[in-house]
Amino acid sequence: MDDHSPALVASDLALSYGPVRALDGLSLTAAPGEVTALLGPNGAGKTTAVSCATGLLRPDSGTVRVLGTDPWRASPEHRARVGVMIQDGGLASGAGAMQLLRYGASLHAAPLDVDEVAEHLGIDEFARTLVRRLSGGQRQRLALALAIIGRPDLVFLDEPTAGMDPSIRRRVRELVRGLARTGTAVVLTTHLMDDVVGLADAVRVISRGRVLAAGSVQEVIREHRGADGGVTLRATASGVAPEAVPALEQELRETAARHGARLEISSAAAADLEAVLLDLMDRDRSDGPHEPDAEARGARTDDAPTAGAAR
Amino acid sequence: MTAPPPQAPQVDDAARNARPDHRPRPAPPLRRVLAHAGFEARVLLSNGEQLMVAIVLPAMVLIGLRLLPVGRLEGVPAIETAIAATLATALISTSFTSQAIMTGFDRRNGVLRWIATTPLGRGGYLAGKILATLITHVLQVLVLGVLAAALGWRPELGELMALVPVWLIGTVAFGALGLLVAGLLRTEAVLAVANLVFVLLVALGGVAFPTASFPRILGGLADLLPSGALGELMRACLADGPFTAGSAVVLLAWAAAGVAAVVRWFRWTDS
Repeated sequence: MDDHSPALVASDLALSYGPVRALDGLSLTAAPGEVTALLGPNGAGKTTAVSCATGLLRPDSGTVRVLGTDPWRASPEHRARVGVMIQDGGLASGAGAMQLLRYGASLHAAPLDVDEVAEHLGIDEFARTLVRRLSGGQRQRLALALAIIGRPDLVFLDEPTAGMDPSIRRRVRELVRGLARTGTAVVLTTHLMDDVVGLADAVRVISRGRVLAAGSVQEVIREHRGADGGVTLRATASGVAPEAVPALEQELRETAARHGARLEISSAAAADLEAVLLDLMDRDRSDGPHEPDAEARGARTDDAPTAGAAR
Repeated sequence: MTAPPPQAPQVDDAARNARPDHRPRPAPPLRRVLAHAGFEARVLLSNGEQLMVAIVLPAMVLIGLRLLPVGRLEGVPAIETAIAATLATALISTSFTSQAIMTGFDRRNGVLRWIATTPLGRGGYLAGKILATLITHVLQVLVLGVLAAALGWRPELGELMALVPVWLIGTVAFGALGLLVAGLLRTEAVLAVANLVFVLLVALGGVAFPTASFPRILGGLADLLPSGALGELMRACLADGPFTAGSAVVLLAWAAAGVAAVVRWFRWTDS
């Protein structure tokens, strides 16, 4: 497998639980260096698809190749290259948080620095707490840390930001972006539009075991909602001092205007204005004028805000 | 390339892929198994309920059988029949009850699913679990042995050496049965069944009391149980009890059937 081959190729997967058809001809790919979001309602088949890709389930028909290997027959060498954060946590309830993270690292020959990962995800704040006493968000962070601790080439993240407070969610998104920047293929399942818009380079909309739409976020929106390429950003001013809102709004409008995006500022509790502004500015700085692909730059610009994007 | 966020771990070190020692790869197989065994043994020994089952209950059996005029063999010091019953109880508590409960919760919490995706894998998990059980057994034997010595037990080296194969076969038999319970039943049922079966086997299954002291039919049934076979073999090793090849065959048969049943029926997930 060369560096440009897809990290994940699933073709025409079918799998039934008794009379229930969980996967019905599902096909998808995920590329190195990209965040691919599997978006769909509960029961759509997202987790089943990931289970097939991680060797936990064997499809009734179809093929799946992960880093060029059939995951059902995966060796320890292959599994070391694939990080998995599963939906129900997979955490030993009687272990301490750091004890479990150190154990997870010990299964790899060249893991990330455990203390550094713990500090970045705030796990050091509950290092000695038993897993069964952790909150949902704390468990999510620990599960995420375990998924990335082995420096995987491909990582599957199931609802990675669910139950997290905004500051941690932001750190997690930075982390996921950082993984993709280094060439890691990231596949995340989610039902949160914020995760898709703010993180994903590509999205696969899944329903009833099939992929209904695939492409970049912008392509999917354009194709299925008839958009002209622009997006509307909606944000709220929650968490921002009222007197700071006008200046932030002005700055946000100017930043959005540079990217040709339309903007609506509302008071609905759907997003954090400050986070939107910071995200846009981060993107503005990182994309800059040197991005070689204008179309890709446009798509990423539209991806940037954490607020919901809609036509 | 964008600079990494200030606190981010070095996942986006540009040199990562150029440095072979940072490429993702598994730890060596033995290190993975040892890591899991150490992890699991530490979790088990730091759990109050598990410690109660592993140490306190066998200690109660030891003290009870040492002091009360029950469960003895003609002409054999009470401490010898007591320690034989105690070590059999300890073996069942860890290999069967603790493993059933821990594995049942691991399955419910998705730990088995996650483990299957790691370099450890299912085989490594089972190997580590067996090793963790043996580590715990050693600690049990040390603690209970010291207590028994305080109560007058003076073991001979030959007795202890003879115990080793019985101990290993018993661990496989009861470990397999524990995994079977954990792999087949709902977690709540695992908790109830593992504790209830433990108490019944110790009290009525030929562990605390020699099967020869039971009514004929009950004694015959107990002889066919893994607990009865283990109890008789322990007494043969440690209390000058009669060695019966039948007990060895029964225990071996339970071990073989248990492993086969685990391979066939153990479920790694709740779904």
